[in-house]
Amino acid sequence: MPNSKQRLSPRAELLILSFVLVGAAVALMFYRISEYGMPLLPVSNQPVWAIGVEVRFDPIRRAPGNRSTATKNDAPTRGGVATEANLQPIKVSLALPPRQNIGANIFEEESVAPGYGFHLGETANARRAIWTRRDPGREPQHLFYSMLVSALSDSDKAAVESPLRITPPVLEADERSSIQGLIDLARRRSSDRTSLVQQLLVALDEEAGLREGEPGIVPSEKATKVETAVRVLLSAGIPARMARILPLDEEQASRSLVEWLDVVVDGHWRLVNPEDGSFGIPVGAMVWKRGGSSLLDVEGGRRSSARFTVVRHALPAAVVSRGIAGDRNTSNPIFSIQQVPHRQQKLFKMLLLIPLAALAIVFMRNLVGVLTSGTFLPLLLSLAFLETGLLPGIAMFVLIVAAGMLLRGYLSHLNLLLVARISAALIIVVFLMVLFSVISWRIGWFQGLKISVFPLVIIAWTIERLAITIEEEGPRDALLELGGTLLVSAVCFGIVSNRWAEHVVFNFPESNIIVLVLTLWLGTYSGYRLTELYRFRHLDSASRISVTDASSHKT
Amino acid sequence: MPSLTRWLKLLRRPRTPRELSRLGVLGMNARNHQFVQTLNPRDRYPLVDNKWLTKLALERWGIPTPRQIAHLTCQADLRHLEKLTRNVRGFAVKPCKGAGGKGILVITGRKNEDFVGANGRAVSLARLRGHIANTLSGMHSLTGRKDAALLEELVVFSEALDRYTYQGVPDIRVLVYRGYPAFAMARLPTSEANGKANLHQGAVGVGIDLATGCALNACQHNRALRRHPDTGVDLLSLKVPEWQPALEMATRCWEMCGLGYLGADIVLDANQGPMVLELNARPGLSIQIANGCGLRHRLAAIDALPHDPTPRPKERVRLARQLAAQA
Repeated sequence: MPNSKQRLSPRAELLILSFVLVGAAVALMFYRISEYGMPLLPVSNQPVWAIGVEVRFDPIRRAPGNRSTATKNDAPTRGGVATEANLQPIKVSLALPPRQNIGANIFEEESVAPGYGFHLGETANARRAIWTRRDPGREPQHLFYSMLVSALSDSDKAAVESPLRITPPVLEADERSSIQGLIDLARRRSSDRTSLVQQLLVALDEEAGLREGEPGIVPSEKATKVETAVRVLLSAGIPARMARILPLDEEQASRSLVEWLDVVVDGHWRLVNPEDGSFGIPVGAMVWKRGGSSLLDVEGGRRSSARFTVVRHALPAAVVSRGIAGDRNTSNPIFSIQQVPHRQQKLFKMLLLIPLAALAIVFMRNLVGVLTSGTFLPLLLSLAFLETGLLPGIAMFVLIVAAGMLLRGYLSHLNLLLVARISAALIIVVFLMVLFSVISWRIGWFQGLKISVFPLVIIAWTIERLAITIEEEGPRDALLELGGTLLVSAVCFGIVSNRWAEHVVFNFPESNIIVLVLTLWLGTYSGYRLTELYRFRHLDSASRISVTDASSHKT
Repeated sequence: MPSLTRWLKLLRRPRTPRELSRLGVLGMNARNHQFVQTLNPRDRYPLVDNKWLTKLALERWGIPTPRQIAHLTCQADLRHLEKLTRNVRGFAVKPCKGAGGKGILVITGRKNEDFVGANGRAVSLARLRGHIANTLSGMHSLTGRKDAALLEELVVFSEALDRYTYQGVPDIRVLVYRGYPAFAMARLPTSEANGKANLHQGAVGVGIDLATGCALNACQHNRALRRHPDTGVDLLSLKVPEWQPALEMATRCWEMCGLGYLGADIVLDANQGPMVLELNARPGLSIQIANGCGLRHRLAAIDALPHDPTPRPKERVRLARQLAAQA
């Protein structure tokens, strides 16, 4: 039956497809490089930090019949009460770091809060972002504020305003003696104001260690350590206030600010680290505010919070800002990750590296010939290793699997059915993880606390499969499988933790198209695997079979 | 002396791709790409992967195979286990969707209340039940999903291979390419393999010359060896009896299942002669090591034989044996 259309061979189809895809990807990358100056290599010395602040709160419903908040300008309602009038108007005020900032150079600030009016309130030493809205609706509200920050400086001295007004706090009766006791203790142990502050912090630590559970002025639910320290210092007549710091790292997805102490020493406000009492600028962090009023004020809302997300860009500052500015012009169709909220950006950073890791898995399986326990287990393991570090992670994995297998060895005596046995293994794994966490915390090995990120179910299945492999094929095969899995996961880890790879896939997401094409081509590789070169090494060099009629054939 | 050490060094180092290519060795990627994926239609896999379906088809086509005792599909069927096995001396329990030799429990006889396993140890009824229950819940199946268990009569293997085996049941794997037998090897259990004919675990593979039915080469763990590690017999003296019928029934399996790259496992029963035990849609590459020779050249030679139409089984076997004799 003749075909009217000539079908291309699969190989030719693949070739054409690859050309089209790779061409498109390269064109897009080229456009980014030439138009936005996006560098192919990450700029290592001066990263730019993109900070996103997310303000969340629930609007408060006005008490029924309460018209006092309505102003004269409100239009009278027509027949019946309009539902929006039951919600209070909103005013959100967020403290912002001043432009002349310690530790940072701020640029490219932006507010994203649809439906809200926004303006920056600037006074002498304080800047605040102010959002207002009359009728917010019932759902929880999300307001975003973002800024770019670079170039950390190294002086923490802030001028003391004059006249310096300190209001000693009003002490309650039961506090008075404890506070006085602390002040005296600190004074005895110190020689000047600097050491006084440090000794006070040490004393607060000691009190917290000794008197857990006892009510007192020491850190408890009522007051944090810094709040207490400020209170004590003010009572002693030393000007002190709380400062809030934002660590510039990507450790946590969304966090709140860290409290630091700010004390006047030798005529200047100086920052003090409450953890160790050291004076000076916080390393790798940005000072958000020093003293002043509250961080976040919400009128008309409750359960409010401000969460901070930090994303690192290894790019020249000009490129980042141009990238953001450029995308705001709606005529620009280029999809750019920088538009997306910062929490999602961090997720993307990891997601976009996964294709490359998958390519590595295909490479290790089809070209090298390493056998693993499950096709994508190495990938999951490598993502978990990102949290724990490679070697600690491998050690933890091996320990848990080994412990799990010992316990499972007993279970097999009980002759349970499959599903029950897997579930029992899962429960045992959970216990092991908790035990491991507690033990590592006790002995001070904090890496062990991160073990909870390991995919639980995967570990339970791995234990089961390895145990079966040992029973059926011998311990040698099981060890080979485990070793192969760890080897491939180490390779994947090398990829997902690589700064340059992260930079390329994040700033050029279309590079993953190239990864896709490479994966497709690897799938057509029909040559020998590396392990086969070893496996067949004993074959005779004298070929016994001669080709009787080796003319080319078509199946 | 220098030439000896050089020869030794030559033997032990890994081969280069070019050397392997010249030897005609078929690699896993090539096997999957050019043979398994192109010649084995996916819809035929269940016939071959499921031992029960295979047995039904073999019986329907009149190809000799061990008698089926029972096909257990659900846990409730376990009630009848005792009754089913009462009058049978030896039987094998196999997961229908299992791969390789996974999950196969062999019972060779009885001793008082218990059964006797392949290694001579006692197997209680409870343990047998537990094993089958495990099988039914999918523990040994390829996908991990629910499975059925097949009970079949145990093969009493013929004395011809007695001296070459340590416990267990030896079998002969015939690689059938486009209906023609291409290569064959005997798999002989050893103590290291716990009485299983599994090359990975240490069974001995002996390449069999298609033309004569005699041993060509022997290997264990990818390495050549001369004598059986347990019985000490010279492996190259092995000769398969009733070779022609064995090859014929292997090639008839092609007509039965339509897979162009097929592995047929044949056992020699003392009373009934050669029988097909099971079929494999992804036969492994160790057959090359057992024969001491790569597959590619033979497969290319078979491609040159007539395929449209393919001759009848007897003729195919004759042509294949002729090819082997010429090599």
